[in-house]
Amino acid sequence: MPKIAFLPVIILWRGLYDVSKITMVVLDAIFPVVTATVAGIASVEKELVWTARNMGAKNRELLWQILLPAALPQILTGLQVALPIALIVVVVTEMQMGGYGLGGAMMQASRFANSRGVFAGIVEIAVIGYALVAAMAWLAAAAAGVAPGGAGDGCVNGNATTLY
Amino acid sequence: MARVTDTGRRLAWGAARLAPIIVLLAAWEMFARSGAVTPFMLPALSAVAERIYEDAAGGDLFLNISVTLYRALRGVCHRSRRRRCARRGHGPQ
Repeated sequence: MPKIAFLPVIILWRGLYDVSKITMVVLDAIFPVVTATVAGIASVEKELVWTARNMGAKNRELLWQILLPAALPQILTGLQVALPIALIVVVVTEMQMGGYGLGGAMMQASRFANSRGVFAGIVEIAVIGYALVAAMAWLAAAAAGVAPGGAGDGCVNGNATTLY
Repeated sequence: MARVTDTGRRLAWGAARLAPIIVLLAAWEMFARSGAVTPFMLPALSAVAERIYEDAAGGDLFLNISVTLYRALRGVCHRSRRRRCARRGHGPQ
């Protein structure tokens, strides 16, 4: 469902300032990450878990040393999905509530019938969005390269393969 | 020799990737100046760039960008009462 429908309620509960905007971003951005994490952990190879158990891994060690590293590429994919959503929601809430921020500046320009300001906002948001997505893709590639369980990302030298 | 052609190929590839954006921006500028629309409906790209430059010179641009980015990233990396970022591999909650 579109979580933006909660915006009026969130405004009533948490006010007009940063807190309500960040709450909206959390509401919208958390589900792609959660579902990607669940799917990533569910698809960890059973042999890895069995091997770790056989070597006496406790639950906590299994989580931090096997499951999360092996699921890291998918978690990062979830984050890559969540980040553009977060930017969209921030701009929409800023347009709705005004104040500082790119969306607020755009709405202010629109109310003053300043079309140059509006188009400047469009260009700025496009550039920021591109930069954010590119930075996140670079981060995900870097993390998948160093992750011990990076085998799922096409890395053949990770610990996941040396375990066998 | 091989390095030169590699560099040339990389440059050509970069230019090919940039081409659609440049074509779009050029089309915007030409359409806005063609007189088919008023500058109020679609200001020229050069006027918009000038406005962005004015915003940047006045400091408003960076204030607005940083506020927006702070809200977006704070929302994605949110973790109540503990300053841990999901991106560091600590899980999403």
